[in-house]
Amino acid sequence: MALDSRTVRVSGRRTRLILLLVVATAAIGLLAFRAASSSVSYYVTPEEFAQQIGNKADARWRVGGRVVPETIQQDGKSMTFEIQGEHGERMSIAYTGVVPNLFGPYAFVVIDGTSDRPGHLEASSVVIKHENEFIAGTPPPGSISSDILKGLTSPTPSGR
Amino acid sequence: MNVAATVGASALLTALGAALFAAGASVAGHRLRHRALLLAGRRAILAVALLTTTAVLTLGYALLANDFSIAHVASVSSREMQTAMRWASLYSGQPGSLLFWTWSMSLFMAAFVLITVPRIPWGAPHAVATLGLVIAAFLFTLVFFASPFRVSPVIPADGHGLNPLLVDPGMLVHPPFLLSGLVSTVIPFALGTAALLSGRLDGAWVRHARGWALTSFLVLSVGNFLGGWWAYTVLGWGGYWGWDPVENSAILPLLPIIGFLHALIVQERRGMLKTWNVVLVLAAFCLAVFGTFNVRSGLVASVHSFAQSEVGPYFLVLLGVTVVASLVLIVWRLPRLRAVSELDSLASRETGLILNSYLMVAMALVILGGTLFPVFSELLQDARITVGPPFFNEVMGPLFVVMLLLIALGTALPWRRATPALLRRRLLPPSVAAAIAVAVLFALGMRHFGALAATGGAIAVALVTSREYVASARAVGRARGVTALQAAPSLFGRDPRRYGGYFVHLGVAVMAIAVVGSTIYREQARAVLAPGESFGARGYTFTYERLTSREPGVNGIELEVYADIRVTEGGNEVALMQPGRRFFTNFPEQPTGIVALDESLTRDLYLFVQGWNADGVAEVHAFVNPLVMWLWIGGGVYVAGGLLAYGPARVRRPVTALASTEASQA
Repeated sequence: MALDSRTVRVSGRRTRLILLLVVATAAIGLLAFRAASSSVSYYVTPEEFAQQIGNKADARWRVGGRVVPETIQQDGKSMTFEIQGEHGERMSIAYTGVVPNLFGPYAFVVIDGTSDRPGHLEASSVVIKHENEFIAGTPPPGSISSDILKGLTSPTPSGR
Repeated sequence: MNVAATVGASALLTALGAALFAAGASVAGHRLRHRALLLAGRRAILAVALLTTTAVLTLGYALLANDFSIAHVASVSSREMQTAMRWASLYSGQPGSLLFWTWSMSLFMAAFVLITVPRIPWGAPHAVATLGLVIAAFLFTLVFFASPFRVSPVIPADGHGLNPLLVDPGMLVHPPFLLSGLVSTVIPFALGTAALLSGRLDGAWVRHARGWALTSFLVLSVGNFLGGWWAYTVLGWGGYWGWDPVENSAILPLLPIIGFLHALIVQERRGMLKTWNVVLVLAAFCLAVFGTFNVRSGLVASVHSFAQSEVGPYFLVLLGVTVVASLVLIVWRLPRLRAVSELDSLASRETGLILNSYLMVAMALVILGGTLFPVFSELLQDARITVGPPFFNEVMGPLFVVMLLLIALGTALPWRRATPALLRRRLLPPSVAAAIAVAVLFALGMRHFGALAATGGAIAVALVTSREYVASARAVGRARGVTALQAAPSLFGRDPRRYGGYFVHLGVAVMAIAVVGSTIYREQARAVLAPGESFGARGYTFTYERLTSREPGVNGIELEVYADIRVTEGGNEVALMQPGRRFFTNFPEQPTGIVALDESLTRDLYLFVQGWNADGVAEVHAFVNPLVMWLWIGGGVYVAGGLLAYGPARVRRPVTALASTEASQA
């Protein structure tokens, strides 16, 4: 009977299905590659930022560090401050907007932004990193939210 | 001596012994053909379930009794915490969540041993041995690395209290569902492993795995919905899904399970995709273990916290062993995993189902790749590179549209081979209708390509699915001499899998439209306001009146501060909304947000206070999120469909003759 031709037809269909899946995989891979190259940001410490800024000038950065006391300067809605890495490397941050409630000296912040010169980041967002139970040592007492609670003078308890 | 700690710890240690015994007795009983040993192995799994239940009850008792000599109780609870919130304490923190995970897993295993094991004589010893080894590995962690019953040398006067993010009613239901969903993938895994080990690789294991896979699917899906809902109402960024590593870990095992629920139909009816199905269930469990490892070790959030968690490296070993063992088993049995029939045509239901499960795996790989990107980049380039939500949205968006189109196409395609006339009859009307709908939306001003494509796809799914219901109801009605409307409910009884499955597809279509509305057409505004000032978004005016505060005095909450915001639209008052922040006595660094929501079928108003200063000047974020309500409605339809799909399988012959392909159609 036409067994041979049937086998040929079947394997042809199988080949076409496999070909379809291969093409689909390649397309998804390409899509993923394009998406990845347009949305990467370098997650670094201030020390790494200082070393790497030279060769990646127009990259997006995410830098984590501690806010240095007495560097916070507020001017209306915009502000500047410095952060410091574990090994003492400092960099300056410029940001427009209101920072989170817990922002303050010694707060561990993660800054997203771009840089136009070494040691400086134009921040598009400032996030406080919640320090979890595994990190040894806590920020110095009186540093973060105790200030905010003290500064909270305006609310008057209403009849709720 | 602390009685509770001793009882709990000995229960866990005994459970570890019982689990190892279950594995050993099953192997020995199988080798020696000793029935009593095999039975003892099964009963040992039941004993594990009883013992872990004892451990959970003991910990629950310790939480209720404020037994702060137990370190875990002191770290997650405190005297003034409400009783209901102590349920959340049970599974918070590393030891607590691992205990809950193991307990839930042991209950699934016990149910499996009682329900399914007696019916699978060909693979019972293999399945029981697998279960015993898996649960022993987790009990080992609980006994030696993260015991919830560790006694502290100094008894604190009061506990630390629950982590602020968990102090929310959503946390009473979301984690149990998610954890149970993750662990439930062990049952299809055990069945797949038993099939590979015993060499019984026909449809038997698949038939038994389907119900359990459906359970995993439902519990995991509900867990993810609840997670999205919790994130939406608590985290305050206006969205419900952020492609966070932890969220990704929760959705990863779900995708191969969905792929399996589709591909198994092909194996049952055509004897194809045998290897693929084994790969899917094994992958689902490996991904569930990966998820736990990822969450527990902090691998992705911060690469360097890796070594700081004791269980991290242990889980990595466990994950490696599971993956390698799975691969070895599959490769070993490859020669026996030959398909019994071949593909007849590319235009067939088989192809649709194959493409669907392929797509699920592709999605899982993209999510896994994106999640692990920082790890790979650090290994390869010595730079931590993260890809954020834009990466996932850019890749997953098109894949979701393809998925919708495949659902519509696959539903319309018949088994084996479609004739051009049949394709025209089934596909042309819905395609034309969807195209018209898209053209109308375009004319109305909708210009976003992705939004138009997704909406068109969702409409096509709804139309094709409705056509299936109507055509089938008509056929049944004609056969019984009743109207189609009267016959419609009986469809779910006749073939619950098929019509329940279609119901899930309808839910997906509704959710797709909700996702388009709430992500692409979301409007957000942010303003820094003094009391009395206002700002606007999409026709709504938000006027900030003042800050108020209160002290609830429960669950460790020290103070709640609210911003009263009056919302008006065209001069008419819509609502008085009160977003705020909650401060905790024991967690001063971790206040949580209180989101204010005004929900309706067309849009949600969503307000969040970012911060304020001493003058009462506050930063307020406002979101107008269209159609979010339909996400929850679609989710309800999806879950209802999943429940309807349980039912017994309709007895049908495997499709072998071309004549039978249209049997179920009019």
